[in-house]
Order: sequence, then structure tokens, then C-alpha cells
Amino acid sequence: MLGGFIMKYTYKFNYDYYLIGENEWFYEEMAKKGWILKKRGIFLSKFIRSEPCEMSYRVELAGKSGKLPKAQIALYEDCGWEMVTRMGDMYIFGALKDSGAPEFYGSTMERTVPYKHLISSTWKLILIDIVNMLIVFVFPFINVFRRGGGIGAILGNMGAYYTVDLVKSTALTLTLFLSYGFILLVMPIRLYKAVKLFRSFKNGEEIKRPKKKNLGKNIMMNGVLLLAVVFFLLSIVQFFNKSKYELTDGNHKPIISLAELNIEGESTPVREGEYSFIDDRIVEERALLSTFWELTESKMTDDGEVCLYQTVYYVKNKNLVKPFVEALKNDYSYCEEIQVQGVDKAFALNEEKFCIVKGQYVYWFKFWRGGDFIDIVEVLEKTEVFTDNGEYVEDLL
Amino acid sequence: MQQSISEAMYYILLSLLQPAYGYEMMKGIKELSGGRIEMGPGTMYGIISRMKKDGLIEQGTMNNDDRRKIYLLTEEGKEVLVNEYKRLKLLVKDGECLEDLL
Repeated sequence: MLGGFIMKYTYKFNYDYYLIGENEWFYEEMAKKGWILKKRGIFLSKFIRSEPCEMSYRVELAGKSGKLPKAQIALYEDCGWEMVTRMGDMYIFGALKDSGAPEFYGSTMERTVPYKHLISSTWKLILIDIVNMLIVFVFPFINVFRRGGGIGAILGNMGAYYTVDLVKSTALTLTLFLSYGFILLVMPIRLYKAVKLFRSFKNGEEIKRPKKKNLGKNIMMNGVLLLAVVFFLLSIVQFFNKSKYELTDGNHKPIISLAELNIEGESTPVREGEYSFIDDRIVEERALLSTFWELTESKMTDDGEVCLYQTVYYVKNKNLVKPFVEALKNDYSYCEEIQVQGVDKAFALNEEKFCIVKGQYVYWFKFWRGGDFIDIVEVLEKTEVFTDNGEYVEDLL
Repeated sequence: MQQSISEAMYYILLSLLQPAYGYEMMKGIKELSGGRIEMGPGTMYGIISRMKKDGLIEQGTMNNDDRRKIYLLTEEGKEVLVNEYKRLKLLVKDGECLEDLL
């Protein structure tokens, strides 16, 4: 409380920054209702409670330089405008309507320069997005082309590819889709509107003010971007929230150790030498839809070195197990399904690379130099896999 | 032959016969033109920037205020202004025959 005046704030969704007329009108309308603009962010504007008043707001875009020169701001201020807030290259100035502060420009023709920059930078962003998408999406295509297959196979393979990613790195995959979606859907709209504004300014037309508030589209666009940001932050959390522990720590379930397969010998650290890119500790990662463990273990036996790489997924939602397994199978589509007692499903690429499903656990194994599929099945047959609720769910497939 | 300059540029150069701040220039232009020309600060700053690049004016600071710039005419700027004045005088002289139509 300041001198009997209770400070109160409110936040409202913004119009996109380059929509000069809409933004100016919006802030003026808010002032009439007693809310004075305090700060503007990407998504929201912050207003402070005041007496209702007649304000004028003017938006100035810095364009390519990204910054208005201090001397220019000082000149505006000398003319009676106050720089209220800034977001990126968008500057918002305000003055009381009857203050006599002059218009920045005599004609809208002088406002075309930042729009030229906006149009070219939006084009660049769209092109970069398309190139990025081609790079990201080309992998599933390459897989299919290598094997041969039509559009159905390509779509199926892409679906599988991203289902696996979605379960394994939910937040990152959603960030990717939302970002591409945002850029591909929102940027063309921005481009269209910017070109329209550029043309109208070039013809010297007045800046149009809306008759009523229509923020629906903006909220939707901002919502998509906001979600992308939230998922991106979650993916960072997932990345840094990895637990790493030694196999010798004891509680290594659901990872299967070479010792359990009766493969004895001295451990050969895979950090060095040929497999130097792999961590020889168990890495546990928690995604939104799954928890998974990865390990590469190797031992020097009397018959030579045996190396086992495995990823074990615990799919949190039992309804997702079937599509995930199907996706995995599709992702490694050379796999043949094999009938094995004691597990729910198994498919193998060959004797060294195979996938086994039991309950909500999905195991992916890859042996180098030795090791046996049957040994693994025997261990898994005896393994009791439980959900968080302590129940084993069968017939998910 | 020197190319003609715009009306806004002419008045900006004219307002800088004495060094001035941007806001003073705006007021000076209004006064010089008898209220006919009222230049907005955005327009004014844009033209000043272009003229600085062209070497017609230069800027400095006073009283340790690095935000507010004081503008001065360069020798080239003075020359351009005088030449433009001569050109305009010639134009008016050549058009004296129009006096009868007024």
C-alpha cells in the first residue's frame, strides 16, 4: 500500500508485436478502463491499476538494427512521449491524449522500412524451418527408400519413428512438433499480414484500428508457442535429470547383467577404445510417458569379449504399450516375430539383436561378439515385472 | 551540378545555421516555415540519420548527456544549403512572369 493507494496488476494476452494499429488501440482501450501499460512480454502485457484516462500509445519498430538509438528515444521524450516498455525491437511510447505530443511520422509511407526487414526475416525463418524439417524428417524416408515401399510404408514408418521418440523423449518430441507447427502455421500468417501492412503503408494509407478486441487467433498462436516453450523446458529437465549408477550398486533392475546370463569374466570398460562414446554405467532417464534404462556392459571371458547393449523401457500408460511395440517393430522392420514362452512378445533382427516385451516393460538387446538370445529369454521368463501399482498387466498386446 | 534536396532536408539544414538539439530543430522549422511545416520526431530523426551518412551534418554531445545529441552543419552541408538557396532563387526569378497570374 502506497499512500492509501493499493497497487494492483493485471496481465492480458498481447497482439502480435508488428500489428501497430491493434497494439496501440488495445493499450489505449485498457487505459480507458483504468489499466496503464507497465511492461510487455512475448505473450502477456502487464498493466497497473490507475484512474481511467485517455492515453495515446505509439509503437515504433526498430527493424534490422533491433534497437532504437538513444538519441531517437530522447527526441521522442523531448516531444512529450514517454518510453513505457520495450520488447525486442518493439518500443512502446505513451502520452496523455491532450499532451500535444506530435505524431512520430507525417505519413505511414515512412514506416515501411521495419516491415521490409520483418518480411525478409520471416521468409528466412520459414525457409530455415523447412530445411530443418527436411533434415529431421528425411531419416524415416531414407529407411523406407532403402527397403522399398510406397506412401503407406513411408507414413507408417514416419509414424513409428516418431511414436518411439514420443515415448522416449516426450517433451522434446512435442517441442519439435509444436515449434515446427508454430513456424509453419503462424509464420505464413505473419508474412501475409506484414506484406499487407507494408503495401498499405507504401500507399500512404492510415494505420487501421480495430473496432473490437479480437485476440482469439493471437491467444491460439501464443498458446502453441507457450506450450512449445513449456515442453522445451521439460525436455531440459529430462536431459539433466538423468541418474547414472554402476551395475555393481546392487539394485539394477530391470537391467539384465551379464552375470545373470552366467557370463563371467573381467569387466572391460567400454568407455575406452572402440565404444568410447558409450557410458558403461546404467543411465536412467524419466520421460513423461516412459522411464528407460540404458547400459552397455562388456566382459572378457575365456572365449573372448562379450558385449551387451540394452535399453529397457517402462511404458507408463498401459494403452501405449501396444502402439509403442508396433512402432519399435516397424522402426526395425527387418525384425521377425518369434514365439517364446514366458514373455508377452518377442521379435528379432537376428540372434544378436532382438526385442522382448513383458508387461509394460519393453527390452531391446544387442549383443556384440557372443551372447545368446535364449539365455536372455530364460532370465526374463523368471523375471517378475510389476507396474507402479504392483500389478502385472498381461495381454497388452 | 548539385541535385536538388527535399523540402524537409532544406529546412533541417536551415534550422542548423546555429547548432541545435533535435527538439529545437523541430521548433525552429515550424517557426521558420510560419507553421507550414510540422515535422514529426520519427520523420526528423530518419532524415537526420540519412544526412549524417551523407556528411551534410554532424553530431556532438553537450553537458555530458550522451542521449541528447546536438547537431551541426558541416562545410559540405553549408555548401549544399547555399547552392539550394541559389537554385530556388533562380527558380523564383525564372517564374516571375507568373506574377501577373496571381
